[in-house]
Amino acid sequence: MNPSEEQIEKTLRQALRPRPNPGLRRQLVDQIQLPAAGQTGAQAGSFGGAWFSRWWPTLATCALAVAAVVVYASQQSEINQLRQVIAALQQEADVRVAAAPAAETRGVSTVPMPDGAAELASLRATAQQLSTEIAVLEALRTENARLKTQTAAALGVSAEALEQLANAKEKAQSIACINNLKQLGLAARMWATDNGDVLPPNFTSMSNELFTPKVLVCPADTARQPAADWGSFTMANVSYEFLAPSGSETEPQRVVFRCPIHGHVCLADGSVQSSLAKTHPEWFIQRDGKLMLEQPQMPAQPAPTGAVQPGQMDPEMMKRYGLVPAPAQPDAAPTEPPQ
Amino acid sequence: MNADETQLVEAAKRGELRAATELVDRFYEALFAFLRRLAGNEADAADLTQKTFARVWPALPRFAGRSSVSSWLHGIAHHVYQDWRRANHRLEPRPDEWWEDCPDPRHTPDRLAADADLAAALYGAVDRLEPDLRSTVHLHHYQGLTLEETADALGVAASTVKYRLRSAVQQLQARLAEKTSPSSTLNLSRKP
Repeated sequence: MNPSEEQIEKTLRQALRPRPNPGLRRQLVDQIQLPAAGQTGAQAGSFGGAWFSRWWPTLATCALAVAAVVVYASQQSEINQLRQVIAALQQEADVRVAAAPAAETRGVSTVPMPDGAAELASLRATAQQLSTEIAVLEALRTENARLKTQTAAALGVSAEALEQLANAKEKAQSIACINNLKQLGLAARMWATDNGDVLPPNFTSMSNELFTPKVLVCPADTARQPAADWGSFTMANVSYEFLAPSGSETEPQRVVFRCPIHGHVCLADGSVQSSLAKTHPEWFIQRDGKLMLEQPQMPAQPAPTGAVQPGQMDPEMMKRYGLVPAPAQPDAAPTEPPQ
Repeated sequence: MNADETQLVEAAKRGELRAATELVDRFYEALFAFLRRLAGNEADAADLTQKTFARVWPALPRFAGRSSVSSWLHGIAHHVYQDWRRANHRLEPRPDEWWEDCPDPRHTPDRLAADADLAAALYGAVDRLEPDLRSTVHLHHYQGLTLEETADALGVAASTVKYRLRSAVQQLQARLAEKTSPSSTLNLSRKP
């Protein structure tokens, strides 16, 4: 059995139709329950009916277009209002600019400053506050002087001696600070020698070169406490500024460390300049992001007669060694060199 | 689309009982035949036909006339059959030989035996097709719906109906060829 497609379709179309029971028609007719007359599809539909389900894409598009038009119109209205405001402000500004030179020539401000009164009141309040603080400072200064006098009387020394004592203490602290910077400079140079003439990147890197981290705190810095050892060391235990981390050791005038209290600076060549940062801040120049010390060239002072210049041999010694030609003696025989 | 049938539906919408009765008279036999072939027995087919018309009357106001009344009713019947099949867990078809119960007035007793064999084998093969293909063949070939009406009833595109019909015919042709292959003949001959 190998029928063709046409034969199959023809046989299918000629299929027999099963006949229903004759009683089925009566049952179906009896079960007819027509909906109420006049009920529309929109009322019967579960979601707006057939009309809505058919037309909702068009309705949605129309609603979207209307919404876009409304938004566009409202934005245009706002833009027009803003343009009017800008024009009004521009006109007002032009009037003020035109009126300002005339007021300056008269020395009187004809244009009212909206914030002038408030600013004046603020300045007055600031002045009042500063006056109060000055009065408090004066009272503190007087109290300080009185306490100094009382302390000196209690110790049995004069006020001048107490002042000298304080100065001596400050000087000792300054010398100790210089010593600290010397040690820091030496440690940095040692580190650089071992690391291709490059200075250390931070203080912690010099832990092998520095005997103790206590040298990182200036004696005059009462706000910081030196670390007991490198294990407990943090940047809160440092008074000095490290201005050339990972810098080159081959720039001798570059400032490596600086004490912000005394103004001492340690240069890349290891030398420490005392208080230069405070006494001559103009000698420090930023060049390519590096702080360099450039001292002005001093004019050479003529040496006093008979004085020995540094690096120059005594004239008598020079004569002795034949470095200075002796005055010409026509008849004298040439001096023989000592045998 | 038959304007007369559409007018009947409109009249039924207005509550005219005579129009509704006329609709029953015109379509209940076709719907019963459709459901009888699908359901496999007389009682279920009659029950499903009643359920179909029970759904038709409340749905009358939603009939917009975009499809023919026939395809609309067949669509409802198809949905009723699918609901019934799911509810009864009859996911696999259980074909019965419905054609043997139906007297055929169109053929004379001298009809060739070969044609009868072909028809029986063909109808049996149709009932063993996949559900989608089977429904399409039933609606288009057995019920006589056009391609568009079949597509409306099944809720698919006309091109899908064409594809399904083409696949169905090819599968039927292959199955009928298998039935008469030499191997099957050999197997039959070995039976004791």
